[in-house]
Amino acid sequence: MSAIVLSLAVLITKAWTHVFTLGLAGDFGKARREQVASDLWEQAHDATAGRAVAFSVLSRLVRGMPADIAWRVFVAPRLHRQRLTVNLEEGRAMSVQPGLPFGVGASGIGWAATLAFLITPVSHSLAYAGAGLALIALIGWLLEARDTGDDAKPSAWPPVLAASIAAIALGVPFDGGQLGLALSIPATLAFSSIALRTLASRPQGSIAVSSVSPEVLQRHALAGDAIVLERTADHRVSRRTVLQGSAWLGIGAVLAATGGVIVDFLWQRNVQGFGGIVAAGNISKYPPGSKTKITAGKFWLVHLTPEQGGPGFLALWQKCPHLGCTVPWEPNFSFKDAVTNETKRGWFRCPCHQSTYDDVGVRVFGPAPRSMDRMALTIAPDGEIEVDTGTIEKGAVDNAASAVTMPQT
Amino acid sequence: MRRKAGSIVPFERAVIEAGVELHASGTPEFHGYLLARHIKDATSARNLTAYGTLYKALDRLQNAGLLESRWENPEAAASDNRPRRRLYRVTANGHAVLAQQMPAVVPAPRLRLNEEPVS
Repeated sequence: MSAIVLSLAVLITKAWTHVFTLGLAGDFGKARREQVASDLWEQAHDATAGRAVAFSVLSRLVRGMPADIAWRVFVAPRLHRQRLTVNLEEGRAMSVQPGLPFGVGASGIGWAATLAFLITPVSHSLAYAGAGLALIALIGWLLEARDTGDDAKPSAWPPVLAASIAAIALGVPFDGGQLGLALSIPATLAFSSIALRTLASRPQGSIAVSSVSPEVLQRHALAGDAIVLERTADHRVSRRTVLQGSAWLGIGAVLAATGGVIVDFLWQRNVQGFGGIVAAGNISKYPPGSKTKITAGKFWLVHLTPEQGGPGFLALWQKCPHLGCTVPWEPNFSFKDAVTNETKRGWFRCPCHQSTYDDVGVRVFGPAPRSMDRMALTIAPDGEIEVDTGTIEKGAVDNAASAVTMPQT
Repeated sequence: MRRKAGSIVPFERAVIEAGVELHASGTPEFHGYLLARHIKDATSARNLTAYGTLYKALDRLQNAGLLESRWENPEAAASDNRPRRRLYRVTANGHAVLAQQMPAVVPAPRLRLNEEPVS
């Protein structure tokens, strides 16, 4: 058991070391991974190490994480900022631009996302676009360690990251397809401009390549080409900048979270089901004389024949006006109508106290105080039925007068 | 972090001290874990030094010329069936800096309540 826990701790530590040395120029990452692997091995095989080795390993990992992150963010980018140029021949040069594939890739993803949002408006697309941007910005920031371009300006990625996190916060309460476009188009333009700027930062007239192998360098050196390796100006991030930045970021995050919660509470949800508009489908689904229970809306959709008081459609609330039992349609129940003295089969009949209603929901028998209640029903020109289950009118003997027919065009 | 040239922070000092002690006890070259264990014993710390702190301090000290390092012979590691060690050694410069900063910083005596400061 403890062996398994130890292997897990070792695995986690190695994985973290991999992550925070990812994409660093030169052999730095490899060297650090080997050092940590050696350290882990020595501790695991140290007879004097005591029992809780796995705990010690995890503790050493966690306590060192802030140093790793700080180093990666503030130190690594300027350690490896250098520009490699190979002067091929008179007036021509080869410039190594490791950031270029990333910039081009991010632009490609951005344009693809923009296209996707244009074709199919995805719900919460602003949040998705923000999440994608945040990921790209994070990778871009980490990969800047490999950037060899001449860039003395502050990094553009942290603001992109902050903006995309804000977009996620905004995108969750705002449910809309077009909002993603509002983010993805400017972001994609920004990515493209970063890629183009990387490309433009190379010495004039030189060919841009993303990487160059030692073999190629050797071949050029042997052919008499000059190889220039120059460190570019490093931009230091002062402690004051970091503190001010994080203070503003913190204030912004608190405000954004507060605002997001308020907006989220005030935002009207798309009301569906009982209490809102319930779509019942096309009139062609319901033959004349049919009575269909629409469970989502808690009503009976009745298609009346002329003999039943139609033609037209009625939405009768399934709740008995007497004590609220659910009224079923009893097609085989036979009953004599006291008004017409005719006996016929098929009635709405409440199982609780035998209140009985005819095809249009008019009460003919029982303790119910009135006829079955109606819901507002509309039929669109294309025959689609919508019932507003939030608008209920009290039932009356003239229920049939409220029957809705297909609008004449 | 900006600091005065030639100055070292307490933890880096502890690393150099541990290196010098290991040298005196017959281990002129040491790897990271050995150093961490020695620092823990020497300073009676509760935990071993974290990876993130230890190896970055070693890098800084090496860049400052107070330590030097080499990868051990791969055959030696392979014969023991373990990952190869990065071996560090305190340079003459390191010894000098440590000697220069002696005596060690002694923490100021803590005042207790109802106790007059010693004049």
